[in-house]
Parts: sequence; structure tokens; C-alpha cells
Amino acid sequence: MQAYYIYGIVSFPPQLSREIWGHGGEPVCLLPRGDLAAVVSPSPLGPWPPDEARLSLHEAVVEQVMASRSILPVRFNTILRTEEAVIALLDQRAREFRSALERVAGKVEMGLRVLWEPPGEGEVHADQEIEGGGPGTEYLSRRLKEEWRRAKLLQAGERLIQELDAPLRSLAVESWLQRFPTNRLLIAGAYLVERPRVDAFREGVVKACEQFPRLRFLLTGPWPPYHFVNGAHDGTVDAFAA
Amino acid sequence: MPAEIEPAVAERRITLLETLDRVLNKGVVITGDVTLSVADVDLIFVGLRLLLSSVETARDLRLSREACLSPHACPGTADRGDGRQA
Repeated sequence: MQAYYIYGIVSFPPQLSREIWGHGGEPVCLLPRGDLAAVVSPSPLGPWPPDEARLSLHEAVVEQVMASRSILPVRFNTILRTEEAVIALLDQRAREFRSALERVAGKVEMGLRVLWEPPGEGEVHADQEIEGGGPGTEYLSRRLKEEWRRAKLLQAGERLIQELDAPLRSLAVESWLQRFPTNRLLIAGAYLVERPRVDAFREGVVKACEQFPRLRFLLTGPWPPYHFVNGAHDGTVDAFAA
Repeated sequence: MPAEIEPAVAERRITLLETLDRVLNKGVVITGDVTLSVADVDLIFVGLRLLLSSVETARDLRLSREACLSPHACPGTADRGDGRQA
């Protein structure tokens, strides 16, 4: 039975401007409903194994569409059984999709990760030592030191984050930031940038590279607006929101 | 001293893992007729862990201003094969 693999949601019209090939060599096309359309290809019910080739293919389809219009990227392995199910989806979530498409119109996502060397152990003050006492006191003393160190870390990091984020925010329309995702990642973030401002944004990151030589920057993009399609954009996007 | 990762390999790995993080974990969520298998979920978590650890070793790339501006060396800005520079 033929089902439909969905790569993304676009406004309709226009039709696709070029031939695009999807999973299993099937042609990608639009399934329209009113002023929206799903970007689909005929597919077995799947699921497709999430290996490098298939993940890259999925992304390539989304980016080929994105070359000429706005698209809301959909998660890998989203497969609906029938054409009717796809139409029903577009009906049910028309308002959400329309407003998301407006929000990302003419914009792309730039990804940024910043690595740092967290300040070292030596920052702990002598007066944090608790003299005497048994193993219980020793444990508490250790915990106190850890908490103190962690608080200092967050403080230093937070200041850095503000300094980094402020100029980049001014070059973007929106941002999504994850603070201290790991011990050595200061931030992992996504910025929604108007297409004509992408070069200026890149320059902004290069400037930050020069301003903060002890930090390491990883800039990727442009990406489809993966981080800006769900609900609120207050930096706490719920990845599982429907 | 940690082994040097060849820039081209590292770049490809990082691009893949950035892609993986997005297509598996972000974007519009639609409850399809296919449920994610246990193996798929494991891959997401493994993939994300690989992503974070790979990015942490990215400092081996010694990204400099010159490296950032060179489309060849800057991760994610290589020609994607359809003639379009990212």
C-alpha cells in the first residue's frame, strides 16, 4: 500500500519549481489543500532506517525546496497512510502552519555552538574549608565547595553568554539558546536570520571569534528553520509539542 | 596529545551530526501512522551524545578567522553538491 512521506509544509501555490527526488528514488511533489501544501513523496509505510544516507536525503529535499521558498521542515520518518490523512492534517493545523510560515518567511536558521574552558578548581576560597569534624562534615564541606564552584561558573558563563548573544541577536530576528548544555559547551543556539543578513551574521560571529580568542565557535547554516516552527520562541522550545 | 582529526572528515561528521540533531529532534511534529521504534530512539540519544562529544573535540580544528571565511574549512558552509553555497 502506498503511503506518503512528508518532508515539510509550504504555502500554495506555486508548484515546485524543479524536479526533486526523495526516498527510494520516488519523485517529490506537493499535496495541496487551500493555501497550504505538504511536500511529500510516495513511500512504503516504513519506517526508513535513520542512517546517514537517508537522513542526508531528507535534509537535501527540504533544502532544495527552501532554495526558492519558505518551508516548515517536518521530522524524519513522518509517514501518513493516505492522501486523505495528509489533507486532514493540513485542515486541522492550517492556522498554526500559516502563522509559522509567516514567521519564517524570507528567513533562514544559523546554528551556533560555543565551546569554553570552564574556570578551574583553584577558584575556591580558603574560607570555604570547614575545619575539624568527621566524615559527615567532610562530605558537606565538599558539597559546599562544589556548589560554590558551580555558582561561580554559572555567573562567569552567564556574563559571557550575554556578551556573545547581544550583538548576534541584533543581527537576527529571533534566537533560541540552550545554556550550558554540557560541561564544555557554553551555548548551543539557533538564530533566525533574514536571508540578506546572513553574511552580516557570519561577520558577527567572526568578530566574536576575534573578541574572545579563548572560545571556540562552530557556525553552521543556513538551515531550514527547524528551531522556529513550534509555538513560543522564549528559548524554552518544547521539542515534543505537537 | 589527542589525535588530530582530519578537517574534511571532522567537517563531514559535524555536518552530519548537526543534520541529525535537526531532522530527528526538531521541526514540525506530526503524529504519523508510523511509531518510532526503540532502535530509532536509541539512535537519537546515541546520535545526540556523539554530536556533543564531536563538537567538544571540534577545538582540534582550531577554527580561526581564516578558517571561518574559507568555505572549504568552515563546517556547514561547503557546497552541498547542487551548486548552491550554504
